[in-house]
Order: sequence, then structure tokens, then C-alpha cells
Amino acid sequence: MGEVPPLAQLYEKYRNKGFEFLIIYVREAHPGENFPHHASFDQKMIHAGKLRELDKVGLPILVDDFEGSTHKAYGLLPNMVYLIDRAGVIVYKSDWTDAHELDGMCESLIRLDDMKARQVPIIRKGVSERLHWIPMDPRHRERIYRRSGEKAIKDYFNARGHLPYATDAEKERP
Amino acid sequence: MPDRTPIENYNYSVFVGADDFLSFRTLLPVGSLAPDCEVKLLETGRPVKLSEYWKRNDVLIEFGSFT
Repeated sequence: MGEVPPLAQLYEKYRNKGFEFLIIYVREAHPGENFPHHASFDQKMIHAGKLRELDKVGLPILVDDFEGSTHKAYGLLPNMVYLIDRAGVIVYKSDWTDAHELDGMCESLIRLDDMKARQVPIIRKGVSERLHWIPMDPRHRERIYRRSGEKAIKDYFNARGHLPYATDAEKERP
Repeated sequence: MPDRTPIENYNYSVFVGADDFLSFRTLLPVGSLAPDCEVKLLETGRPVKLSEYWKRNDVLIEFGSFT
């Protein structure tokens, strides 16, 4: 699912605290008859416009080129997220957007600025790795896939062996 | 890292679920420099380099599509 989860609340919280939030529009993750794969850059711009309009996305939307150059450079995943500091250094990356984690990371950067301002010596930059768990709302997910078209649902089923909004119980059923 | 996505396959018409979550972990480790790519503003079509944003602020970038 390449759909952009709402980051609106986080954006409101941090946009005046030295952060910019951007969405980079990439290929359709689940092309369907209503929203097919992009056949041209113009079509990509139109689809990005629909994201703005139908999902009421208030964040700046930047559109990647037709070949997906930016998408490729950053790892080709459908809904990844990066946090980049003012030196252009990647300080956080995730293979899926998790607003709770992002909240914590933004706070960390604010804390870092505060430490620097108070000239607290920083002994080293540590690195963490973690797992995270993405909850799914089946109704919401069904709406997203149906919006793309029946083909999106069918292709997902062929790829995964179950419907995109199947609950664990439904996946168990033979 | 070799690019295994030919241009004609990038905008796939059929989702097959081949996303490479493992390579993502090593492609751009935290601490490395973010690629300064050029994209287009939706509003105006104006080309912009990503560094224009992180020069001024810490930047959160989310990748996504309508579907």
C-alpha cells in the first residue's frame, strides 16, 4: 500500500519548530482501473493532484520523475520515510511510516538543538535498530483498494494469496 | 548497488509484491548523506532539489502514492 497515512497532526505540531515535512509522489503501489500505473509524467502529476484533493493532504507534495529516480535512490519501498538534518545527513529511516516513532524522533532533534545551545558535550552519535508493528484497519484498507479498482484487489490476491484487508482469522481459512 | 529495475518495469501495471525490504536496511544507512535528487513541485511544476529544503530545516520525507 503506497497510500499516505495522515501526518497532518505531526505537521501542525512541528512545522514551526524548525521542521519541514514533504511528500514525494512515486509510482502507484496498487494500480487499478480507476488509478492505473503512470504512462506519462503528466499522468503522475494528475494522480498527485488527486492525493492533494481527495485525501486533503496539506503537506507539500513533490513529484518524482517518471523513471522514479528519487524513489530508486532512496530504496524503492512504497511508503518509506526519512528524517534528514540540516547537514543533509539521514538521522532516521523507516521502511513504513509510523507517526508515533516520528514524533519521538522530532523531539530528539529538538533536544539535540537544546543540548548544543546549552553547550552540553555530546560524547558520540549512537545508532539504534528496531522492529515496529503496523496495525491495520480492514475497513479503511478495503476502501483504499476499492478506490483504486477491483484490479488492485485481484492483483494483491494473486500476489499474496489473501485479500489486502483480510484479518488474520480470514487468512487462516482454507 | 546495481539497479535491478529497468525503466519499463518501474511503473508496473500489476502489483506482484516484490518490494525489497531487506536491501532497504543497507542501501542508505543512518549517518550517510541523503541523495540530493531533483523533483517537481506539484503546485507549479517548478523543479527543486531536495537540499533546498534541508538547508533551511530538518526535513521529514515520506514516499507514497494515491494507491
